[in-house]
Amino acid sequence: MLNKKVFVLLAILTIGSTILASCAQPTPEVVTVEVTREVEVQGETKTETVVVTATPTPEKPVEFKSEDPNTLYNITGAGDTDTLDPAWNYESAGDAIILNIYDQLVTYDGPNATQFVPSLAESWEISDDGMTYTFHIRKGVKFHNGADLTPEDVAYSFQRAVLQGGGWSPMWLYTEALFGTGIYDIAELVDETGALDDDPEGLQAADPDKLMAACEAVTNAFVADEDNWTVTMHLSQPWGPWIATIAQSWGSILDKDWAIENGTWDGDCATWQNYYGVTSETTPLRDKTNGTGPYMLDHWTPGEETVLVANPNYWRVEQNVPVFEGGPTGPSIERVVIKLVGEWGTRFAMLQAGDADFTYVPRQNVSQVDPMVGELCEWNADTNDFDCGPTDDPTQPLRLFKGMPTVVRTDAFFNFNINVEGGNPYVGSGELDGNGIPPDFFSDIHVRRAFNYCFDWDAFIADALNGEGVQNVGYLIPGMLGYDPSLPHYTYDPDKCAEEIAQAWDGKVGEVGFRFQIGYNTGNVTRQTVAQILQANFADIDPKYNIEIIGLPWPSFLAAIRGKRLPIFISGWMEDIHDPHNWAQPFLVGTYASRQGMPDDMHEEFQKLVSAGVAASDPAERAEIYKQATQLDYEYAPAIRLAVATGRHYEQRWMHGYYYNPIYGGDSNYMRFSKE
Amino acid sequence: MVNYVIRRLLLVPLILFGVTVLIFGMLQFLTPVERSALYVRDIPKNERALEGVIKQYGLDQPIPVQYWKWLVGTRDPHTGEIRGGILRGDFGYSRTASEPVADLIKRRFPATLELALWAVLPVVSGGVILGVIAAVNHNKPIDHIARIFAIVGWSFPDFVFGLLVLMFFYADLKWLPPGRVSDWANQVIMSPEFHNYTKLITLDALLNLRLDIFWDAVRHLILPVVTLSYLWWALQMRVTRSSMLETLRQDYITTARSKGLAEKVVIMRHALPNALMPVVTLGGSTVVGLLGGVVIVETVFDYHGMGLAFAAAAVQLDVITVLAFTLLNSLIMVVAYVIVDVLYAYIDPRVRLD
Repeated sequence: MLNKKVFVLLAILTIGSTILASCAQPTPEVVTVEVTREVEVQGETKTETVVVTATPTPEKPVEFKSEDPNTLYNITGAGDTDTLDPAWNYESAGDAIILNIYDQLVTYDGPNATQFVPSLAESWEISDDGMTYTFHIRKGVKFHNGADLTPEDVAYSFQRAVLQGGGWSPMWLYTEALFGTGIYDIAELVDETGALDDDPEGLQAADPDKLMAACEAVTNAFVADEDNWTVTMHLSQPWGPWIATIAQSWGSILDKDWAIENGTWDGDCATWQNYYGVTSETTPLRDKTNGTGPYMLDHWTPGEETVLVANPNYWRVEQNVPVFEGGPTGPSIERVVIKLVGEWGTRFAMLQAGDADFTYVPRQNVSQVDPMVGELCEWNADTNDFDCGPTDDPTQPLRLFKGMPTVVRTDAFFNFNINVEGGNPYVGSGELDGNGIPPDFFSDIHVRRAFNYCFDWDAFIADALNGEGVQNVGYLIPGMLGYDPSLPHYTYDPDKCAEEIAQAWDGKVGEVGFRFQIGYNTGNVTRQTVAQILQANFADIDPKYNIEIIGLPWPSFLAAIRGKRLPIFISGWMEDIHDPHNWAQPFLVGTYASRQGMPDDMHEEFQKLVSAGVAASDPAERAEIYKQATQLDYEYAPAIRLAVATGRHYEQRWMHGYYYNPIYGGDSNYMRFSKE
Repeated sequence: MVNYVIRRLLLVPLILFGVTVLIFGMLQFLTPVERSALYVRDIPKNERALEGVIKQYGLDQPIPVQYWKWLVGTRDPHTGEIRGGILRGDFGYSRTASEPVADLIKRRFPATLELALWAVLPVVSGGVILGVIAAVNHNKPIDHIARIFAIVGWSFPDFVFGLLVLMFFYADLKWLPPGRVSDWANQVIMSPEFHNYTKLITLDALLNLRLDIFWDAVRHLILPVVTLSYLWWALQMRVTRSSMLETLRQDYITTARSKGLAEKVVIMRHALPNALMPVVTLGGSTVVGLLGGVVIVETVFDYHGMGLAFAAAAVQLDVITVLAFTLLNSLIMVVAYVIVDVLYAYIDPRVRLD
């Protein structure tokens, strides 16, 4: 009896497994019919029979309604918030939370990432010299804890952020404008060599007069006037992108008293050094929030979920101030649940079950989701908006927005002076003998041009970006001020590549060839694809042009880049603000140029243009300067400027309100959404 | 037996010391810059940022100094307070989890324990039952079917099996969702009215007399437990079957049968207890494995337990978290094997632990 029962159980389970394995998406019914029609052939009318297929239209319109219209479920992939301290956070997952909890003085004009509208500042003025900004602070605004917003809160928020410092924080975006280009941290006002950067113990032991002077430089830069209800900001030089800089999450306004109660800087210049150099885990505001924004933090369970609830006393609702003309005044969804689900299969199941209002879909998985799309909205670059319409099967539950340009790019950078101290395995013999390259191999313009001509952008976009990307002309991204697709740029041309490489090093490269290694961090398919394209295309020209590809563990890769040991390093940049300076600075004179060991004369030429660009206030003048820099970038070819991907956003069709502003990471800014 | 248990438990600090010295010793092979990579997620935008990480975390200090600081903590120059120090019960901060390791463990371990408690009975008993049935029906169709069934389970990638059942029972039928509880239940659990006595949701739900929460938590546990059971039955079954077959060939079994005892009595009273010795060992390993976290099952079913956190820390070389988890796992392993040894002595009177 027992045997029989077990046998039946086993049979059921085995059959069940087979059925599960054979589960597949249902396909829409296709009807095939024969019809006759009359056609005119050489003046004669004939009747012919043709077979046509048609997908029947649904009998009645399909309605899309959520079972839980008051809660928004955003199911994200990898990447959790690092910290909720607005002055420390410097990654998009944290931004997506902070920007909903805190307000800034100014905000974006809806989908426009370069136009700004008042927020906590009712208005602002810029002095004629472009170095002083006066903000008129809005009255009647309350923090989540009920405290009133004052100009002192605003000034303190900026002062405390800068004085807290941090090499991994976004504060360098402030310090350059406040104290001059090349100053990345407040500690450099105490020791200009940078030796005290991120060294709290060293800073506390520094000269007290210098410490006081540094603090006063900050407090003088952000001055509150309680009588006139204004905050004035003094910069060390005109700074075109200043408004864009303070519109981001690090421009969030804190409640001064609340912040001090929770352990941040006490506002006294005699003590600031004691609060300097916190890390993301030691900052007192790591997991505490108190903003004026549309949502309040309900809880953050690291690695699992963040839950926000609507602010019932949101000042925009009370004062009837829409976020931009025609935009919402307050949140229409009461609760937002941002869940971190790393496994794509699980996220896909949640999307199918309707438990994800939107989710992150990896590029390689879009073909799985596309059959579920019933409404397609394609980006129209002319109108900067989407054109929407039904798909072949309008009964499907998802809406897809696609084609919008993103603000992340990976480039391949040439190392002008490869570090070979103590031996370097990436350069082979270290000589131009066909079995290696010399440390200054890329100092020859013909080499750099050859590598540009040997890069196949179409292959890169097809392989690494799943066919959805746009080749960049120069260092800027499409659509940005100063970006001009008509400017000269490199395209894949094997003949020119062969011609240039043959001339390199007075023809010696053409005679003996070269061999070196391109390293990438294991698992990064984009970087690997870049290396493979160069390897294949040079090998096609001549087998003596030998590029080897090596996958490195993350620590080794980082150490190799830091040590300037890789002949070519492939790295990505996600913009902080939607302004050409945020690309010109790192790519032409700052972070990347430094890692490349860019020659002084080249660096100087770029620096002149970058400094002029950031200081100019007239957009037309700025655009012209950045175009000149693009021209120079083409002539010097210090890197291979690759391509930006175009983005996709899938959502359930019961969601409404999505618009695309490239600066919002992920699917944040929840106030714009409503749900049926 | 008491002496034996005390002796084994006294070994625990020694084992833990050895494990941590080994892990810190392996760090010797990395340069300070490589070690700084353990603290960062991407190439820094600010060129000087990596030096800052090295300075702030003391990564350029000798490994014995770093080990000592990890043991006893460091004094904050401003407040004078001592921060960190595992001997003070501070496991440090998990960069991958963005929270103190102690908080991470406090939250994740109950989740893993709950899954293990629900899974251990079906995993072990199912395997034992299958093994006994297969052995008793040696070389009969039922034996072959049971073995094929178990082998299919063993060779089925758990990732694939988990996703298949998830697609069917969740995406299609919407019966059994992933996660630990539904969002509405989570709101109740986090409310002040609900008392989290044990952090085991099913148990706490019963103690709070909230059957709706209990059922919701059970719904979320069914698929992970079924997946674990099906995949692990093969091992339990094979060991039980082999052991049972060997026992059934013993003379005393023949004697029992010749005395006219019913077959059920022969199997259940005479054969099974003696065949269970290796099964107990395997059961101990199973419990240790379940308590250490089951990465794939936790990943597929979005069940935030120890396995998921440990895997994330290991992949990103988050040494502080890895060290803490290793310590915990070592402790669980030692205690589990002490229990197994005690069970040995209980099952088999010939075994004397002293």
